[in-house]
Amino acid sequence: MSRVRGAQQVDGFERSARFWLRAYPVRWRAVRGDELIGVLRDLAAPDATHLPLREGLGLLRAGWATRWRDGPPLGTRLKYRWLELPIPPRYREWARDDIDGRWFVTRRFLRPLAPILVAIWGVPIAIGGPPIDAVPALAVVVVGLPFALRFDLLRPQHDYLRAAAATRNLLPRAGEPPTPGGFGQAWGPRPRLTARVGTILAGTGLALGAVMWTTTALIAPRGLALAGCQPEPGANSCFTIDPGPWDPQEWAAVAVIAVIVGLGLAGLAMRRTARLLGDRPAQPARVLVSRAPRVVGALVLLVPLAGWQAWLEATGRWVVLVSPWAAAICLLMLPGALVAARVARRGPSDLALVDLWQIGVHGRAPRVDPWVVAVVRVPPAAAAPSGPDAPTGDGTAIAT
Amino acid sequence: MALSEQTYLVLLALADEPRHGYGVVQEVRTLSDDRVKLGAGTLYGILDRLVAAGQAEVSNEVVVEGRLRRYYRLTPGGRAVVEAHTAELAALARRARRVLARPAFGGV
Repeated sequence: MSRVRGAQQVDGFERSARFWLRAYPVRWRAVRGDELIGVLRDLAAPDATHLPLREGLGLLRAGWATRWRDGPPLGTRLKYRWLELPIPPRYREWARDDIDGRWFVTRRFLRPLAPILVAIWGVPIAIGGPPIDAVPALAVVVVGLPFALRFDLLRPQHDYLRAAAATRNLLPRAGEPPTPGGFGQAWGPRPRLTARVGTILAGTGLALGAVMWTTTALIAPRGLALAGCQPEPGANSCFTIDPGPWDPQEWAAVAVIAVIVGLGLAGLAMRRTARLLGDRPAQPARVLVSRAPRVVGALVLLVPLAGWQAWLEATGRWVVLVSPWAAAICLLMLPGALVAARVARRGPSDLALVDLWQIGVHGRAPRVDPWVVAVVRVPPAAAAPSGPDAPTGDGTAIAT
Repeated sequence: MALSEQTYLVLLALADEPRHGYGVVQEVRTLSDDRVKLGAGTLYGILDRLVAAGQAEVSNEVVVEGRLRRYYRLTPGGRAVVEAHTAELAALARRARRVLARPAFGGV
């Protein structure tokens, strides 16, 4: 069985070989990948349909060795990764692969979380202390969240992180001339999430959150109770916060108020939308992005994590603490999100999520997005910086 | 750069003419009397290091039956390295022959 990759037929052998080749750095594959696959074909039996496992493991070992040899030494890596110091110029190509990589954001978020995880879980185990009940669940959340972020749930934040890292590491330093084939800055359009995908994400997430956390807040057996105590000599008062029975009635009043306020805000947003939606300006410096598969992937990962947390509180394993407030926030925002989803579905197709936010929340017509500066590779023929009149660079912007 | 046996054999394989990756693998097998069979990962690790050290370079590229073949050749620096190492091995072999030619005394 074969399929088309670009203009070429790709058979099972090549797919298998390219899978193992992913052990090599992106730049290495771009230059040598086809050549190496040719050698692998020459070495393989004429009727081979897959790369032999032994050869694949050899590529895995050699690929990671190449990654290590190709990149900066350990000290430079640690300074780049943990202290966010600029990478030395000779490692800029390595840094570009890193910043452009699929796992960049995950690595970025794992960095501060790893020592926290070690501290709360590893240290008790290391000193032989009792295990902490909540730690395994917390560990899953702590580790799972960055992996969920890989699906670009927080796309603007991702863009910011990548753009900041690219600006810090890739651009020529003061006094350093731009090099053809190196990196420079150019103006480009700003990517914005479409209103349809954004409101579906927000509406689905808020609806699921409202159901899960409201149910938890209503049935949870254990909460925190404020109790008076005997003050010590010289003290005016004394109180303690201890686990105790959870009374959902007071919270129910808060929930009702949240729903009423949410409905009122949704009505306000609806009137604003009717008034201002037609005043949207043209957006020449904007490109709409969908990212629907990534959004679904993020929901698939995050909802079970949130569900687990709700279950721990609902069954009394954890004191109910997060669910009542999370439920109130969901109930407050859900009506507005549903209004936004309805407008996005029936409104113009070029509507961005940020447009609805500016209209519904701020009560003003959407602003015109400005051109943004992106880090791009300097074309060999034109090393001079470009301006808004020539905003495209070479189409290889890392982030905007 | 210290020369491993595999690296030395790759340098030798490139000594008489430019060769592509598969050609190097075949020549190394011949030179080692079918004892050293280079995998593709090992071969390209060695070629990367030789090119980075300025001992080998790309000479040309051709496409044969849809497969990209990039030919490599030794640089003058690479040729000097392989000649020096060959001379060291030859001197070692001569010394080894002299040692082995002496009568063995004693024993345990």
